[in-house]
Amino acid sequence: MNDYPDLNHFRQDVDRFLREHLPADLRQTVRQGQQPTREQLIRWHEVLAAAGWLVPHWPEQWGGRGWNVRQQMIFDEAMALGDAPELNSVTFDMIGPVLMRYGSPEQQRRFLPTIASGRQWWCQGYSEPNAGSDLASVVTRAEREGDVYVVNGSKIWTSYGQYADWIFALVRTRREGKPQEGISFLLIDMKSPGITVRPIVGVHGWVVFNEVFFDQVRVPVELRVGEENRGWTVAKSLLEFERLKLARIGENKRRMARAREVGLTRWREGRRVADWPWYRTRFADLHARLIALEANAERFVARQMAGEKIGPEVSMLKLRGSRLIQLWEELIVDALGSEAAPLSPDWLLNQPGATSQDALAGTASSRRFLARGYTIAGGSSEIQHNILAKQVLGL
Amino acid sequence: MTMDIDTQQMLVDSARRWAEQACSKVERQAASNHTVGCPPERWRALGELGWLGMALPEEDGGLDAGLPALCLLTEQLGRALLVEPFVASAILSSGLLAEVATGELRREWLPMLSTGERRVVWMAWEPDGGGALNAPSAIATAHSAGWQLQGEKGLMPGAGGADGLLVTARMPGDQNHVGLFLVDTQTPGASLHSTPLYDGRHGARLSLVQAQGRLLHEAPADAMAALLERVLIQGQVAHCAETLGCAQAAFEITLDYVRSRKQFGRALSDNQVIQHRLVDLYVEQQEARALCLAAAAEGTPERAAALGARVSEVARNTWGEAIQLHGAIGMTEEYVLGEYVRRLALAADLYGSAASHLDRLAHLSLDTTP
Repeated sequence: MNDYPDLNHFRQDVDRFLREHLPADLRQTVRQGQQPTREQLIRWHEVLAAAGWLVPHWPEQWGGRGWNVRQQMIFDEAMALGDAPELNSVTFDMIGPVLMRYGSPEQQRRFLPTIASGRQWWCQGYSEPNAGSDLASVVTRAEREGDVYVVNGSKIWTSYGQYADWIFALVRTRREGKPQEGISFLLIDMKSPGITVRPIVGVHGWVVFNEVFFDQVRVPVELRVGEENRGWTVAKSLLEFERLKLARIGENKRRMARAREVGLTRWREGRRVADWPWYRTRFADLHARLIALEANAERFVARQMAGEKIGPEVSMLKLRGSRLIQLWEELIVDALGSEAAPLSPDWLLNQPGATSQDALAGTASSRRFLARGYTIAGGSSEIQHNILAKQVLGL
Repeated sequence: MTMDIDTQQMLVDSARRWAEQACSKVERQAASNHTVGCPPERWRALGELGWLGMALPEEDGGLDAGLPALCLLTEQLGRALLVEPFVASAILSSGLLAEVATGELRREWLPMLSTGERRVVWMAWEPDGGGALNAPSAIATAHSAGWQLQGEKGLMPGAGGADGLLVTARMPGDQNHVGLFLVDTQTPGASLHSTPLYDGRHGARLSLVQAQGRLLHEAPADAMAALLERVLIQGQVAHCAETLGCAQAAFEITLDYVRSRKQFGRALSDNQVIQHRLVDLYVEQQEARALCLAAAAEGTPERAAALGARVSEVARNTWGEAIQLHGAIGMTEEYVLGEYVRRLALAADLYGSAASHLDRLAHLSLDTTP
């Protein structure tokens, strides 16, 4: 159900909501490019959940509002431009929809209401030291002992594993036959005995990645999603959810707004940055790319709204949207110049004559490093190229 | 009127069928060898197909087909490497005349534009290649016999052989007032200097020495510039659709080539490096096409500038990559790719260069409050 026939009105409502309800400390954390804490994010989830806006894209049966993709994209854009944090897509866009489609009634009743309340954090246990893009080669094994699986092995690059209450993991339940046909999909409580989380500090100074070790971890069989050895089907279905959102129009507009703000407020050699030819050309070039990306995404949105199938061609949205974010971050860092160098914005804020505008700087470089993840996670750009080459161009 | 999907598809199919015969290499060469690159009988044939009236209102004998449908047509004409100045004349210039012509002059000209008996071209560029929509360098003076025009207009595709030329000039007395005039190409004092362009089309510059013109419209400079920009965007969008049609054809030729050409015992297209480069071209083209159709549906200045910049880049990348992926054969004149290369190379700069579009977009994004 679309509870807003007038989408402009809807957008204004979201903007107003953000002004009134986004906690000031979280807004500042996001603007300064610092990593929000788990507590900050859970608090924000609860605010959104109270307004009915945490999982609006879910069906009403599970506490959602059944928004269509166009409305979702408008919402995401408003959130990004209003300095709200990017929501954890693993929790709200991945495991939620997976459970709705493949989960048992018990699994659905147990998890979906808690996820919709915003209090439960999930992480994705797919990649392993020797299985990145090539997921079929996972070796973390689960051996059946009566009513439980005993899990041994490790996962790596587990985003926000340090915040997570639960992990959904691909585990090997059979070694014979085709690699894809021996994989099962398990839901595992992160508090289970035998789980160790080792945070991996990134080049940006943030902890996004973790390594998760499983040592004789006992997982009840009823926490398997789908049939044994058929986890590959469940895992692959994730690639079908929310593919239009992977254009990341909102996240791109967040960067564009920041680049524009830096250009208009910073000066170099007596001249506003936005008046330097190099900045203008680069800004316009990226803006043109964004306008093109948006028009291209709209083509797929219209197709989906008309009930048509979205084919493999949609990979191009992820390919372009993820790269564009990186280019915006490069421009922001270049426009800030030496102001982007300090490790912490606090140093800048404490300098004589500092104004509140300085909050933008400091961690510009960490945001730039963070943006490199967009072209790796969720199917690297090289994988997207392969998909387009094989499935669209027929090569 | 806007065309429904089925009618649009019929238009695309008929354009494709027509082009197969009428735009063969021999036919293209003949059109290109014509003194001004637009043989009158071929132009009238476009009128018989109904295409010359597509940008004109129904009450003037046109079809009022709308820009999205026109873009689908010009995309096909781009694929076919049409030599005649369809965009410059039948969309941009007929469109401008339809915006401003009134009374007897309108009744005299517009139906004949639809049939192809007459052709009009707006000399949209200044001698330096810029637009200067609000400050033309040409000047108009009032005489007992009417208006006289003095000045120069820059190289415009399709101008040679036109029956009427649309030109802007500053009005006497008030420097901030601009007039739009119709100049008969036969009128004394109006000289077109025609030349073949390197893509096989033709263009011409215009000199006006006390040449008579009929005043169609006058307005304060900014109001005139707004009107002209609106029309120019329509032409520019259609030009981009034509360029993208040409780019798609060059891409398909390249795709076929790398599939069939074998080196080191396998097809070139079996190499991942080749595949990924083709994907990049394909994605850029598809994105630009989506933007083109969006701009045709709603041509905001921002979208038009973004489109101009993207299509210039796509055109340049396409011809450059097409040559590289072919190897030396791609640089020859006799191989089919050559004509596409030349067309794309020129098209990238024809309605404003990428740099000028980026300047415009930077101005729109950075110098105004959103």
